[in-house]
Amino acid sequence: MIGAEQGIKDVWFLSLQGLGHMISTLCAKGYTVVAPVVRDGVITFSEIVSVDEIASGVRDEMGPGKYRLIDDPLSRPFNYVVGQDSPKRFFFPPKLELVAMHVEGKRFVLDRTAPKPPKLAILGIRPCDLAAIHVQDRVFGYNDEGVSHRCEADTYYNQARKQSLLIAVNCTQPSATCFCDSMGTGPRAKEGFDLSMTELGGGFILRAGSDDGRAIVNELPVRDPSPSEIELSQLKIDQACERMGRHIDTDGLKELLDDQIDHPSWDEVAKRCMACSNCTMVCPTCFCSTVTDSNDLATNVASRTRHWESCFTHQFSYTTAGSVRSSLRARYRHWMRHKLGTWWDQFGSSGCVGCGRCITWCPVGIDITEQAAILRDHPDASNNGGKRQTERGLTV
Amino acid sequence: MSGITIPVQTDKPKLAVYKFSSCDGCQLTLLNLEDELLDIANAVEIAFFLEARRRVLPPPYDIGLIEGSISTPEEEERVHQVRRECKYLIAIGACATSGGIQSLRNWADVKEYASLVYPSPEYLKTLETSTPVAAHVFVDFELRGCPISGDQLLEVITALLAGRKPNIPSYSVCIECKRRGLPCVLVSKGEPCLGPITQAGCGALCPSCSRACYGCFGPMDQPNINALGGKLTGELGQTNRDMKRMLRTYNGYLEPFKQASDEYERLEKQEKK
Amino acid sequence: MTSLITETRPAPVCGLDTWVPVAAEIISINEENFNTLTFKMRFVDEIHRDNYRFLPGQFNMLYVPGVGEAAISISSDPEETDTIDHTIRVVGSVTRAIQRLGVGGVVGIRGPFGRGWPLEAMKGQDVVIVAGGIGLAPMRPAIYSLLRHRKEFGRVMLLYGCRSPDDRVFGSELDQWTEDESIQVLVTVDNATGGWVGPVGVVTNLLQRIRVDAQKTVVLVCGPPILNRVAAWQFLQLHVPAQQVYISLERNMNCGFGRCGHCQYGRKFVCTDGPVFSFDEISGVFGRKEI
Repeated sequence: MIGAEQGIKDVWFLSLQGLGHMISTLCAKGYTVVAPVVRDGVITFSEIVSVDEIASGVRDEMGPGKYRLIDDPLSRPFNYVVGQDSPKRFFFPPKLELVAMHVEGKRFVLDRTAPKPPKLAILGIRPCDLAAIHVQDRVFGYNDEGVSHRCEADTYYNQARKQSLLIAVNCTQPSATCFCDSMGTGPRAKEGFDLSMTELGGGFILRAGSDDGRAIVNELPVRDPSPSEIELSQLKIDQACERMGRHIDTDGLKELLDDQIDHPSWDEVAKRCMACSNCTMVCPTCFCSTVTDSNDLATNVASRTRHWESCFTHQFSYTTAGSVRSSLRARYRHWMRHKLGTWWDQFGSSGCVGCGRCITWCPVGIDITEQAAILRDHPDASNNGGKRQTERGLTV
Repeated sequence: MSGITIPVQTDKPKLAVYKFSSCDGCQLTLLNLEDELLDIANAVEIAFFLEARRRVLPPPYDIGLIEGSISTPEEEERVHQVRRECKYLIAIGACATSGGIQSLRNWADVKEYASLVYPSPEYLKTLETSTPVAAHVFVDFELRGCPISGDQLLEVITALLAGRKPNIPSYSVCIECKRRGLPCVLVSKGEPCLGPITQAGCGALCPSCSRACYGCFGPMDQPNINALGGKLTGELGQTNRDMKRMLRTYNGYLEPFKQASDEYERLEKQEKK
Repeated sequence: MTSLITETRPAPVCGLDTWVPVAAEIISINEENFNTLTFKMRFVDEIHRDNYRFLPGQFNMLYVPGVGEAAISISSDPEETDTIDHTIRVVGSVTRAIQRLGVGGVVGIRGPFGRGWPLEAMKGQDVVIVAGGIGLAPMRPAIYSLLRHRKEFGRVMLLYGCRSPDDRVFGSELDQWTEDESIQVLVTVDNATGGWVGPVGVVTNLLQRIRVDAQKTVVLVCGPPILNRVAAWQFLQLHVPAQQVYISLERNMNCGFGRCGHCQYGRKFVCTDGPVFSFDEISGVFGRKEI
């Protein structure tokens, strides 16, 4: 880290009480603070103004298609992993009116433009979700000079990201559906945060990853951590690696997915998949959207609104010749190949960060790690390495 | 000045609202659009809407909204007349699009039902089945729901007048639910929620009250009922009878809910043997 | 005049935001066949008229306020950008709305988007253009460029197929090009109505009537999926290298700049990586169902 090289201190100990100071400091600096809270028995990100609102004294238990929040005798914050929602919605809102206008003479007159995003401080971002934010940064062209051929970067996303403060919390309690270590995104947040925290008994090991983060620490009642506290924090994260509930072997996975495009297991998944799109809605990296046009009956003002969409819906790939992917098999295959394979070609990274949400929140518990393992362990040899005969006897 | 002159507006499209076997709830949805009702009244001439105004203008009408199912011989006749009167016919609500809750009779003996309910059933004239409008005449658009969503009704009317395709989704309730950030009642509470197979449009109303979706908007585009049934009858402990009853509510007679409920009925009978 | 045959993509025009279309007026409408019309449009604001450039094969998102958007390829001469042509088959709500607007109506334009025909790679090569139906629309700018810079290319051949003689689009230009020595034009129809004496049958049958010098031929294909597939494979069978066979694909573009996910085709976004692809870029998925 640059700070360490220059001899600038960037590790501190923040007491549990200090967390309250952090939140009031952020509020005083004009941030809208977002942190995990309990809502209807689920951990979810929500705007808070006081430390008491942060979920504490609860633990989560997850499995394929199952999520339960249970009481935790250790009434600590952050003793849970990821809930249904990721921070995605704060940068890429599920519904956003992009513009509203009317025609006057031969010109378009704008009545409304997209709202200005708030200045957000998101507290309690897990390393997988942090990685997901950086994956979406590439999708929406944040801090990217090379977006010229993709038109301009997404306006709302870039504004929101530019003024945001990201405070990560390292994971010490992975769940049964977690596989961030397979994807190289956790359980330790390595980069891309303003502040990172590792929870210990009475407080947190705090690290700064940016000047903005350091500026916050300057106003907090921090002290130097003892070497044993640092060691303990490392140990807890190392142990978390060993307790990952799921695993994906990513070695050559992209090529495997290309080769196994006709694997019979896609049909098996299709029997279980409902195309309800829950996986894509809870995925912290899924970015599909649809802009719909509408008009106001009274004023005839035309508006353009962007909604989260899903590649699982039948209408998603609709062309005048019908839907391109009309079978569930094709839609699941498209999604999984995109997440783990073709995303690399498009954005230079995996589209999956290993948060496990798609496994937990799939009502029928379809498991992406299981499907990847089936393709690897039982490849369809007749696939001929992705090559095939065309109807004119050509091998392509 | 000789009193108030009422401007004659003949160039506005004429709207007609018809009622068949139904509870009137869907028509009321139109009247309940308080903020937009005036806009609608400005944009169209309400030419035939017995529940809202006494004045009736003669057909033809540009837009017809038809509520209710076809359940009597008289209705069977009248629906053809309605079709002839309207340029563009929109079936609104579960009754008009699926046969409604009254289509439960389609699986039973109507005479037996009637004798249980009415002291003199011989005065009744009723069909053996209750069926959707589209089973009788061509329908240009169908709006699902029991009752329909006011926003969707407004959208269809607005889109029709603007000459565009209405933004009416055919995907699952889950998408609306997750967009709103509502916690999934199926996954986090083990509720037998029909959201994953039900068409969106309600704005995930029930899940927003921590209740399971009961499918009042009918099946989504290509629902995989079998997959959800596996989860509900397995892990969540629902019986085949439960499944049948869940599917046979407001949209029970609409494929593929009908087909799936018949299958669960078959399984239920098999169990008894 | 400097050659516009370049691979550098012109910056798209859009309003305040990438999602805000720019107003353009429909200045004339030409009826191509019973449901296909060519709309000549001109940006309302001079700044856009001056700045707008496109490459043959690129497309615009055409917008009708309150109705919607549709991805439509540009069909006019890329070196005459004061007005822009869009040749549209009236089949959807947006295209119907554009037709309703008529001459004098105002539509919105975002674009140009995507990657066009590889004019740079075509230099010095023979060019075979294979088009079916309205697939001739994205070819028309390329043909204009080829004819304008005729000396830079080898032989130029256009194979065009449509349902009947009346279904030909750009009929007068096809006649004109047929007269032109510098381009060989072959047209075939499925149904020989109205005294048609030309070839009858699918467009790929026309391949027998031309001489293909495989190694120095670049093929451009645009038509319905079946035509794209058969044409591509026939040229590959003639040993035209896969990287010299180009196909323009159609998908349901929604945003135009690779950010909404709709038009994904395997690893590609049709809107930014395409709509024109060389066969070797998409060989893994080309012709496969439901990709």
